[in-house]
Amino acid sequence: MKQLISPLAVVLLLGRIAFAQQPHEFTNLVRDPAGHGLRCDCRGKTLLFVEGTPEQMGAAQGRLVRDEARRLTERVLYCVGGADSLYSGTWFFDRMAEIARRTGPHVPERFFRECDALSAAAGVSQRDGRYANLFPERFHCSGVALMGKATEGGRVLHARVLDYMRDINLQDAAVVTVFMPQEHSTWVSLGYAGFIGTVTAMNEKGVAIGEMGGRGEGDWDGMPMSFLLRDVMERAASVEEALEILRTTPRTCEYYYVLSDKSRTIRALHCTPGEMLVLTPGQQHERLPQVPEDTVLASGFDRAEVLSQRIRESYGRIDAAKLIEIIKRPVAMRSNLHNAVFAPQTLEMWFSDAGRHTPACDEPYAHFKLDELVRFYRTAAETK
Amino acid sequence: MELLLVAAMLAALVDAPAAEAAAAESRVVTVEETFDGHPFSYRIRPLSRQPGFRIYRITYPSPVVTPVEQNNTVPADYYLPEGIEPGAARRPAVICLHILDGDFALVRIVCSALARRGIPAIMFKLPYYGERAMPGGPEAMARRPELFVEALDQAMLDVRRTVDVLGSRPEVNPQRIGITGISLGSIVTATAAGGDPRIHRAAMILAGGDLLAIINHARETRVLKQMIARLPAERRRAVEESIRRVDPLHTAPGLRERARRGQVLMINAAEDEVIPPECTEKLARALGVSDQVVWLEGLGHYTAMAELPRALDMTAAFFGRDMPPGVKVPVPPDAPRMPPLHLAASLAAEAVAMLTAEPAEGRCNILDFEVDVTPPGEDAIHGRFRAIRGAGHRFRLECQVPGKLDARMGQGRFPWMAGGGKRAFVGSAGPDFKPGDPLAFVPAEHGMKLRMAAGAAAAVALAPDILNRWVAATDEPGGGRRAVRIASKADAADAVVLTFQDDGRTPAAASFHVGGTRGTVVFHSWRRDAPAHPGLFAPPADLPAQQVDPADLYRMFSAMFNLAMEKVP
Repeated sequence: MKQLISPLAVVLLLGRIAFAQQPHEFTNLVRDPAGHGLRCDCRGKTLLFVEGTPEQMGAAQGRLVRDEARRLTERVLYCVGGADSLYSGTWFFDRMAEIARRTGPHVPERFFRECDALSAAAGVSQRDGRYANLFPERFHCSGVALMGKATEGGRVLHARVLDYMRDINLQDAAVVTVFMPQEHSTWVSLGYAGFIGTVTAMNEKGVAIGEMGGRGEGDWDGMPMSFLLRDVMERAASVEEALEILRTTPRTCEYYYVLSDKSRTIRALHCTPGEMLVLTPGQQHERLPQVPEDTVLASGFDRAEVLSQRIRESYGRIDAAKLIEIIKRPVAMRSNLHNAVFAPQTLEMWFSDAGRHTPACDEPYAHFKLDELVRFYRTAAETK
Repeated sequence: MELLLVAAMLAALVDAPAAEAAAAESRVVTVEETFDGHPFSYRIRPLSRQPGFRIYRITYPSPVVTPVEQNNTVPADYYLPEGIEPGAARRPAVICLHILDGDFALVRIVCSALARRGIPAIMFKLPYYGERAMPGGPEAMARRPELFVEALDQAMLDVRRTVDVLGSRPEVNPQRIGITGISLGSIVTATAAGGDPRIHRAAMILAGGDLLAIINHARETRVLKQMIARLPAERRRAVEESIRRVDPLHTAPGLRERARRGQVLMINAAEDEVIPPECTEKLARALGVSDQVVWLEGLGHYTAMAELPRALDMTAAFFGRDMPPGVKVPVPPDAPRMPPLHLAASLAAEAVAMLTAEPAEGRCNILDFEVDVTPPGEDAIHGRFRAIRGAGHRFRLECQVPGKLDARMGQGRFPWMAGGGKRAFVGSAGPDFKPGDPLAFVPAEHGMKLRMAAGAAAAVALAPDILNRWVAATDEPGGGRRAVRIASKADAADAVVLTFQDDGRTPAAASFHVGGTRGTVVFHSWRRDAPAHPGLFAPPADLPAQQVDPADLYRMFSAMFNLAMEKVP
């Protein structure tokens, strides 16, 4: 047994060395002049670190990704908003005002403070900054988590496919943001400049989450989904704690979630404002194809069918690289904006963003570890 | 037989250059009067005929003999205006020099613009460019700084020999030979003009002095800069000294008197990122024309393309001052008689101008067409588009794809948009509201893209033959109306067929097959400078109107335009 473990340990160690970010890989470092953040490039990705109070984090983000945040706000509010007004016959800003009014009472005040500070620093109006952050509420992807018998070595792997408006070049503003809020958990979001919420994230406690939109538009008396997931990232140390937050917080619209944690708990959820259905590994559901043992998944039926089929074909041999293959088209849609694979036990993540003309699933993946990113930031912050 | 001989002689008398063109064989002409006292011969043969001028290929020996044999012959294209009669007063002629990157499209446009104004123009390939190049192309020069300097020296002498060629031409006034160039061509222009008093006028577009400073500054010359820096000290000093010798600042005193007499024109971009404006100012000071530089405000080295048509107009007018009195420049053929490529290029330029150029008050430009498109493997899409551009920020855009899209937007008294036949959103902010720029929130680079497209389209319309590299244009026989087929040379299956109305210039329809996508277009309206009625720009009267903040509408118009501009490669 000892003889078996040693080579494995060596392999893991080598893998760890290979994956570890080297300081020289971080380029184009820009420090927040107020000392609450840092922006840099690594492995083809833009990384953003923000820390401190809500105001400090918001202002740091606004300063460090000012141009991208402004462009993204314009794109989602005025480009998509204009198209939505034309299509629906309802003025977009009237609808956003209603969403803001109805979700407002359920949003933790610290989120508004951070959002407003971000807007002020980025030169975006307070209205536009808040509306842009509520935007995911109006427009509604696949998720899968595997463990035990399903994966190589039994490790927890969690994939998330975001199919969402690649055509309007949101990928140009893609930013991997490490939030280090005072008094809350540090977490990483695969997100976009100017957004303080999340739809794809993992925290330092080893909890990962990905969202898939459903219907229920108009059910806005609750905490906006992207803020709710942020709250989960900041406060939950396990899937069980995450479920409690999701259960007790007023929710909006209809969403599906896949959650995983380092203690090998994986769940799929179907949430409406009134109900929360929790699916355990291997649990079957009438709206899903066959769900293999030690697996939870959520996707549109046709894509879920392919996803299930591919999982079964590679069952027991699935590692991060295989999972990246599994979620390629047609599991991912043409609109595939970003993909992530999380390994919550080691805080590793692999992710890709869409190119100008290619879905994320066909783009190269970057690999990071949350704890190493945080160490890098701390070192960089100390060596100003 | 005698009668035929007389007729032939008469024809030769009427149009000697045309006779040259008619000759299938090339001719050799000896030039006795030369800058270095050494007679030489050039070979001339007809190349092509364009509306308003003919192009001849002229080749002659460079005064410099290098180890690279192909570099020792100067290949030049001579643009000779039509209608020059034997014995007519001699005209000015202009040497046109190309840019650094080895693409000759721009210099051909310059030659065409001059020839269309009745001014003979000649372009030749600088040393180690085109067929004169070594393996590795002109870029190889950047890796060999000494060779770069030798090439510049040779370029100056090639210019002088080209002056000899022009001076020998029967239609050219040897006292009125000019020179012009853009970017690198303009730097060589300045230096060569300073060194050769026979050059009567010099027009420099995007020129500057202090060549070393330019080389050290420009991204385009970073390899050369690095190679110079790597040279041993002594060789580096020698190269730098040689560069100073061919620097326009070095020869400027020789051009100063002509500049004082108004025989120098400088057109520069105020925000030039390649030729630093301070280098332009140094040259202007050295020439004594600091207060006469034409600055293209808000434009850079490449974005200056937006103002290329204006720069060409200025340049042609500048050299046109030497035209002998009474010369009549033949009017180019009107559309029905235009060659197919010229007709298509002028149509494209007109379409861009209709959308980008503001019409006069009370007038408008209207484009209205239906399109059927079938992308490969997909169902056909039918749509109707209508674009109206009025004066004073007035416009109307409509796009209807049944079952998918119904978008209308515009600005008359107020900005507005309407979709889906449901509601019109009108940005009315009181009776004192003045319609503003609907693209007020468009970043400068996107607006610049549009200006550059308009400038490039207008410039290409001057010399459509530069498109011959990529497309072949032919008249499509049959059908009664004139039809023109534009086919890609890369893939003959990719083609557009344009059918014109009876006037031979207004498009009636088009069919296309590009990259597997095929479709048809039917033009309902293609009108420039049409009368404009306020109703054209008003929101649909049959829809309920909702007042909204006009600033939000301007941001929406701008955001949609920005996305569209991002989609443009």
